[in-house]
Amino acid sequence: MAETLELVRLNLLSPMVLAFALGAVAAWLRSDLRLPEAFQAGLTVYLLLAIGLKGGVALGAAPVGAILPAIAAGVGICMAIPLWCYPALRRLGGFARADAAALAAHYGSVSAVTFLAGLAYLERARVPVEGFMPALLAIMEAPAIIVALLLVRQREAASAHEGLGAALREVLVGKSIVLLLGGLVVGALAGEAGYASVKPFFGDVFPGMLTLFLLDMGVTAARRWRESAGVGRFLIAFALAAPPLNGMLGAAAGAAAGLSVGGTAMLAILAASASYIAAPAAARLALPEANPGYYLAAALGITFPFNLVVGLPLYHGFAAALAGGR
Amino acid sequence: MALETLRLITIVAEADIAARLTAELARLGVMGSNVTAGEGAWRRALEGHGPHEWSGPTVRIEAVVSPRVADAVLARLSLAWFPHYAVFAWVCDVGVARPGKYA
Repeated sequence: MAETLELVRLNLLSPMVLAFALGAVAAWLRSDLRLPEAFQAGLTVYLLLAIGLKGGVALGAAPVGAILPAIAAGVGICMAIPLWCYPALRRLGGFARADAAALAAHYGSVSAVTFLAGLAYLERARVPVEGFMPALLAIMEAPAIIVALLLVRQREAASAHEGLGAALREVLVGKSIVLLLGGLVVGALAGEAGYASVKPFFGDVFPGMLTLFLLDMGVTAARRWRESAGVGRFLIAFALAAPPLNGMLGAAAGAAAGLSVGGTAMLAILAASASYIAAPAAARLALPEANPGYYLAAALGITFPFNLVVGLPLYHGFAAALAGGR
Repeated sequence: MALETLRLITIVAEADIAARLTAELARLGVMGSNVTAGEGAWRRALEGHGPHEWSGPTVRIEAVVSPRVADAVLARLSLAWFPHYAVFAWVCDVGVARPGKYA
């Protein structure tokens, strides 16, 4: 119990979470605090490339036998999540098909920023993580979006069908996948020796950059929350209940795939996260009738802060319980 | 200098759809456009349940075109874009030098 409380304290008092809270408070006070748009875009590129490079170095050294079960677990989880979210949102929440599919896509896809915050949290908790996890992050972005769009297509045919290809292209050539996969390739080819030359910039400065990014995310999340009055109690409850449920599924899959406690925790964090970069762009193209007010408020205004503040230690706990012996 | 009257079409749209929108404009005969990033607030195009007020990144697309192309663009926007997306458009007459550049 004392250890759990210490991990919660460690998370809540981390500079990243505190910076996020500062950004949210600034937005609440209607401060003009905001990172310049171009700097924010540059930070995103930096963070994604940094994580890709580091993962690529580890991927190059990892045995294929250890990676394949993790990839299978990650893809399986991503495809399974929309299959329960969609009917739950339709039948229990009464959402329209497009809204339910868009929400299911967001909760099945993954958030790179939550992933980065999870890595930083586990590093502070001194829990080692398999180095190839960034590969999972890249691989887990698209499958849920495909499944969710197919769920609508099965029922509504033409309109979703027309958007499926465009939406997939949007996800697959979007900067997050290009930078992550590109970074993985560059890191794998450069290896440890090559990475050493850029490590001071892409490794040592990384936590500071992430803190700055989360400061801005705090402003964005609070604004979305403020803008999104009217999402309804069901969606608020869903946005708080789905992450722990998905996190539990992710932890079970990670443990079954033979991942360490850190790797299992990261898979749980990925499963619990909701996309708010790749999925919104895909949903706008393929499901224009879906209301962005629902999926952005839920993913960014509710689930992201929940995961950042409460979720990370919780999913670590799930992982320790299920993969504790490793 | 003698000027010819053409149409300046201005479109303000949510940024997520900018690439597809400019590709559509090219297909309709727009020979070039200027795209400026911005930040805006709007009401959702489709009325229904849930939040309507929205804000976020936008683009402002400006193009000088012939009256025929301007009509085609507005007709297409009305049919395929206005019902689904935050897209706003207006047209005004402008006097341009070198009209062959635009139409």
